[in-house]
Amino acid sequence: MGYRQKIVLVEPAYLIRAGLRKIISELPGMSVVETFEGNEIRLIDKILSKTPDVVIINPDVFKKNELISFINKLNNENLVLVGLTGRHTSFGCKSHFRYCLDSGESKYDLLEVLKKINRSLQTKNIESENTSLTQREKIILNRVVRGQTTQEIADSLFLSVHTVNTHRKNISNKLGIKTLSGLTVYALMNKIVGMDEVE
Amino acid sequence: MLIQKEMKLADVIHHDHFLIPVINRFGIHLGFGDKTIDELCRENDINTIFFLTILNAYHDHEYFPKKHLQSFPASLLVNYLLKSHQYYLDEKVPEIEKLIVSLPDETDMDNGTLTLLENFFSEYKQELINHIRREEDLVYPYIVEMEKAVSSGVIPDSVFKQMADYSITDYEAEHENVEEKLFDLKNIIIKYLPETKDDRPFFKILKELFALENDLNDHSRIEDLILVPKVEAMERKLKSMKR
Ligand SMILES: [Fe+2]
Ligand SMILES: [Fe+2]
Repeated sequence: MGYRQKIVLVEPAYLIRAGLRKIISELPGMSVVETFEGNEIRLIDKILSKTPDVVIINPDVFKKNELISFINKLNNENLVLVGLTGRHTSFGCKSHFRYCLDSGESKYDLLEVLKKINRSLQTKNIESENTSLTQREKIILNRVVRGQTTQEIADSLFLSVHTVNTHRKNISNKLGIKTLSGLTVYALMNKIVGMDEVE
Repeated sequence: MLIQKEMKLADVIHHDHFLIPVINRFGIHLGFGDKTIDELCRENDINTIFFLTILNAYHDHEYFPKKHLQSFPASLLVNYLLKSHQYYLDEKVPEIEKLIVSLPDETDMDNGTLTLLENFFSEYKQELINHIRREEDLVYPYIVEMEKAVSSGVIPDSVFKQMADYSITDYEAEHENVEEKLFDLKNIIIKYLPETKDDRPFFKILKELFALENDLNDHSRIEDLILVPKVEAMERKLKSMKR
């Protein structure tokens, strides 16, 4: 199975959280990694620490100006923000979101919205669908496990730091290995780096 | 299923055997017949509400015992968590270590690969030990001291100093780091193990890694979902008392 989109859900009512979780569980490409009620301290930090691809949020948990600053902060991150709306949600409020899941919709329509979100993200991650590393990625992995910093790798390969970071992210997504020690074991086992090259 | 005090513990265990290490930590021994949870708690001098909270939190990941949060002292929770630390460090981790160390006798895999796995596991173990030490030396005593301050109304300066130094939210991030390493180890064995004639020893190790991961994740979840909110509530209370 390929990469699963990570969803964080912010909704005070358990019944709605449970219902949405159930629907999302029917889609193989997405999973809810964490739920919040909306009144948590440092909510944004807590959400971002889960590195979600999608954040589904009930806008009613915020006061109006709080909502806008919240949306602005999350929009700076590379993720999709989805509104969990209802009959009482104002149009102005809905307009902040690219996608809305409306609590009055049928199961079919809710699934359609979710599938649309899933598809839009998959094109973003299309490169990481293929799980074998490219030559370039192998070169970068070799340097990463030899202890070079992103900056050093960027300088020596004439790449931008941003590009190196993207490569590193793709490597981790493809392999399903996040930690440096895990990557080192992988690289050694596959002779991408020699035993004598790592300390 | 919501576990309740009128239920027979034997039925509960048949329903979810992952709870066995939990009842063990509470000092309940096997052979408890048809006794209900309530009866067993009274016999063993266990706080029933607390026991139910832990059982339910392990059993159902959506279970968030908000209302019971204040009904038992944090020190009780800390005691329980200490016991599960003991279980990881004195039982589970050495068991897995033994399996890994005996791999050279049981498989035909080259020694280079086996050494890599062994080193990776010992690195993970060290990280787990460091995390647990930090909890036992820093986080837990802070919580116990804070609880004393809340109930007595006397707030030592040390508590305020710690409140400023250490944010409980950082603590959740640390859990993730420890979890990630264990996940990587599993994934390396599942996806990238070099070919071997007999991979049964690796199946055994995987099974143990999954069990450890399962228990540890529940443990961290209790720390994140019960302990942390309790601390946040106490921090708020102490700040308002200071004013
Ligand atoms: Fe712990
Ligand atoms: Fe912990």
